[in-house]
Amino acid sequence: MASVEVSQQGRRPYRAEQRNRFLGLPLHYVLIAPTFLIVFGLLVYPLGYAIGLSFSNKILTGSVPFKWVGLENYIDLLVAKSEMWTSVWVTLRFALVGVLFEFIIGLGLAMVLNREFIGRTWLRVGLLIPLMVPPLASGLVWRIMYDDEFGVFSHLIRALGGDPPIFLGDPNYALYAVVATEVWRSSPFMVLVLLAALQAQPQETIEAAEVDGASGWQVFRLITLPFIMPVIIVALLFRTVDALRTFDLIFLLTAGGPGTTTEVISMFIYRWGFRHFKLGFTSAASILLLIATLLICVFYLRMLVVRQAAVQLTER
Amino acid sequence: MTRSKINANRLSTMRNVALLLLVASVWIFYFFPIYWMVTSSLKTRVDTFSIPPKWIFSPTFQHFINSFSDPKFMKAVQNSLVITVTTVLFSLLLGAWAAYAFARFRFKGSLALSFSLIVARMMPPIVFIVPIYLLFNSLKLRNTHIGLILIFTVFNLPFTVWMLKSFFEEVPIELEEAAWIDGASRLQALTRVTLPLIAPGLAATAVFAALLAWNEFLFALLLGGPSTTTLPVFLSSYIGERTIEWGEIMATAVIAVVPPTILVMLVQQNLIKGLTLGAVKG
Amino acid sequence: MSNMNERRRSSRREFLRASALTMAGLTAVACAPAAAPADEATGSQAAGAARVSVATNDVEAAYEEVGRQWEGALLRLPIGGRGHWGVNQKAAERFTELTGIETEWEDNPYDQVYDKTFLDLGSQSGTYDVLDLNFAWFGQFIATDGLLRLEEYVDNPAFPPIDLEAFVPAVLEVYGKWEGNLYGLPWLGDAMIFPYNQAHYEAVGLDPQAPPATWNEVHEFGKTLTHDDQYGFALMGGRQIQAMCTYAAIFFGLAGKGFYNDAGEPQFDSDEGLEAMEIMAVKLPEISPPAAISWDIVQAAEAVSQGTCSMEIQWPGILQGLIAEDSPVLGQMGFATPPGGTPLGGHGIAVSNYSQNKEAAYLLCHYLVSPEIQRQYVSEGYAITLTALFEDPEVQAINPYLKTMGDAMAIGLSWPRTEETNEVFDIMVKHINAAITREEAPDEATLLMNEEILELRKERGYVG
Repeated sequence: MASVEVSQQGRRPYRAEQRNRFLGLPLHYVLIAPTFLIVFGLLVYPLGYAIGLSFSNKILTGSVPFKWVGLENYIDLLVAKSEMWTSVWVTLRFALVGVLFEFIIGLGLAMVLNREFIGRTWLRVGLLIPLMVPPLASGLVWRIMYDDEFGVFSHLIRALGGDPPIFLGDPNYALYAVVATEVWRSSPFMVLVLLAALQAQPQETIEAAEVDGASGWQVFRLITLPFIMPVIIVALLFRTVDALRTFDLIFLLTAGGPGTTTEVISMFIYRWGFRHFKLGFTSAASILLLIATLLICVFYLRMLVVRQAAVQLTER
Repeated sequence: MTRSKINANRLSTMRNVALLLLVASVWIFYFFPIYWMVTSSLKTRVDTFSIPPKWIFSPTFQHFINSFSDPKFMKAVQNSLVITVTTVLFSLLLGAWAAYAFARFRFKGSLALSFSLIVARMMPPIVFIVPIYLLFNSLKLRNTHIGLILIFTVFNLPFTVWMLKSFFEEVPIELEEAAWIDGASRLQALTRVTLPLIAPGLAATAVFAALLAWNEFLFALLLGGPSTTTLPVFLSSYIGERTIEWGEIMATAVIAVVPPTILVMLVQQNLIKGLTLGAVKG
Repeated sequence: MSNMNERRRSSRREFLRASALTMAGLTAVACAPAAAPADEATGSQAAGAARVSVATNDVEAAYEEVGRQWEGALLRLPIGGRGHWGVNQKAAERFTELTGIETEWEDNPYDQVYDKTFLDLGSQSGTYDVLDLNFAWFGQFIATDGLLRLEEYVDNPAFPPIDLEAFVPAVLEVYGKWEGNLYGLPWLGDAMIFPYNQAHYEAVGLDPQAPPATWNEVHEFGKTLTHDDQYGFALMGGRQIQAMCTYAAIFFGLAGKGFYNDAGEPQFDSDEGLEAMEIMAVKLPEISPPAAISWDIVQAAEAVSQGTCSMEIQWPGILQGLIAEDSPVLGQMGFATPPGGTPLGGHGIAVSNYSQNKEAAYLLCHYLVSPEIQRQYVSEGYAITLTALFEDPEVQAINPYLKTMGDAMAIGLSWPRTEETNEVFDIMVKHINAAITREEAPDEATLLMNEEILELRKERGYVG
């Protein structure tokens, strides 16, 4: 502590100035430059290309002559009878239900894992295994497990006297079957991140509250939850962004069927991009998806910023 | 007095039983598909598709032998290891610089800049394939290890920067300042004081970055080629026009889980600590 | 930092190694004539041979003689690995021994072979020399200007002769020609056939020698065959391309005509088109397991080879499971051509217009479609394209459905090959699956499908 005080006298401004510069440039810019160069260097061109193409009728393999079509692609996409709207609702349901369950399971499991019990370490490590399995393999395994003839689920349910639906073939169940697989694969991420947040919580505050006679629920609601809130928001943010563009799982399990009940937006984009090679149209759809995702992120980030501001206020 | 004690005992027994049941069902939910994958890798084709599904069968190691005896398999493992390790090192190195800057400096637009990184993760990958393909083509990066490492690094950086930023924020700046007083440069303070403190955080970040690079498929397939075939791409080659080599896919997938498991085992202690440290401020 | 340098260094090393190899290759080519006399000097082979020959017969000698001039060239293909491509990949090893032309096969999963091919052709980067010409994509290949015209190569006496008339005529037309011009050689023949379980037929009192002659008979037989856990049919009803193939088979069988009329309009709104959808979405699901509404090719084929389902309409490439030694239905299966008609599948083999080694690439195509190689890979259960081979008793003995496959190819109809075909397939798959899963009524689905295809064809100028 003393040394800090010393540092605040005299010498520091000069040293700090020197320390914060690199070859005469502000050090922080030098430090973030490589990351931004590589990320945006590789993405600016594709993004610009996509934005440009979204105003054209470009078809990768077609003999249709190239022409600029203005906003036509966007208008085609946004009109009420456009197929995209089906995909939008499917995607929103997929992402919302999926992330919600991941969050509930993630928080619940994190609370359990925060206690001491035998085999806890193993469970923590083992939870990462679903993340490690190559998606192709897990997709195929789930597909066969869901099958009404070859699959274990249906046979187990029948053995217990139930009447299972055709998980991946019934329009009422298919989306939720896919969501279950997604939850299986992605909730471990949520568990581990939330567990970490819980473990970082100072034990004294909880004990103090318990001494004051707070019930378990009150402790959780008034102390634990606010403490881990920022982590929850960031975890939800990253999971939502990923869920909105999930592709491989859907492609492997249902390819969008039955009908269009599981056709998420990235499946829609894949079909138009790689089955129809309509790059102009596909680019427009992607830009719309990007904008929508951005809006959702801004919502999360606002929550985060408001929270941080509130925390800073209370700290003062 | 005694009665309430008995009640308390009974309550805690019930709690333990409930906890046990809960943990058991968690194991079943997460590990049953893994169990099914492993048994599928040991079943013959006829057993895999038996109706009803078979629980007891005589195992065969033929699929594993087939995978291992394919020269392309060892090549794929090698490619995956090289690409994953390099990607992780790149992501951590670059990510750490940027994260340090975001955590230690207040400058104009720092918030906007750090948020803008997430945009990189939001892009729907499919549509960017074509322009990135063209770009890589003209830069001669297609079918090279460097190309895949670059693109995976780009995908990893947003997450890496955000994770590491919160780790750096955890370490009080006073510790570094103390080192400056003792005559250390900023770099020396960083490497000797701060980095050792956030080592667990680096480990945790590395694990998630490694998993992304290890399992990435679409870009590895379309931007790669015969000299960069990674494990997921090799795996997918078991899908033919009319056939799927089910057993070989499962066997290869089982093998593919081994290296990341070893990695996680190695950093296991650090992983939880690291997540703990980093998660505090998100 | 040091790590980055190391990477850079190692990549430079790789680059140097690659250039060294290229140089070595070039030198090998350059030195080939010079090396020949040396070989002659030491050669103890047949008198007059220019070099030590590895050929064991005249056919191989012919390839050897022509191919040596491109020794060291490297041909790249976007295909390889397993199945019918794997067999060809193995055959190409001998080609390399004979000619010194190297080949590099890329094991892409089937779904992405054409993604990669068209990324390559669309960007004109010339990565691939030899292309798999799946005829459903023919129009797109033509649109990218990615295929080399082969007439002058076929007629060129410098190459070993090739008799185009030896190929199944329909297949040469469909797999190889576009508006009368030759772009590909017929390579992997394919047509859907109708496997049925004769033991099941006998068990329910049906004549095992009389497979159904109409689709309504399939339905009737199927009802007889369906009992307890047994089902008459294995439908590929999931939202995959196979649903379109099955519908096309039924439509061809009922109507005996193609997708479009002379005006270029789709004719699924005809009586036959509507009836085909009724069979596809109502009648076949009745006699198939409930799960079949989500099935793809693997599930359907396995359900038949497990003995759970008695009949299917299927591509021969996946039928090895029926005749494998450990198959539960070994010796029970009969094979017929599907009622009324069947769709052709299959591939030609072509040379990329952007290839740097067109002659060598042509020679490889020529080699892979030759009778000697076709005879090799037919033993693995894959189809062929030469008429004479189907009649060869030796070949027929290899597997019991080969003869049927030849018959099916002879009556097979092709789906359209125009550049919007894959879009048409996509529309069809969507509506067929919607009808099967009751998201749309069969009639409604058929009419919507027809309307969307018509709209698309109008947009592309195929319909006035």
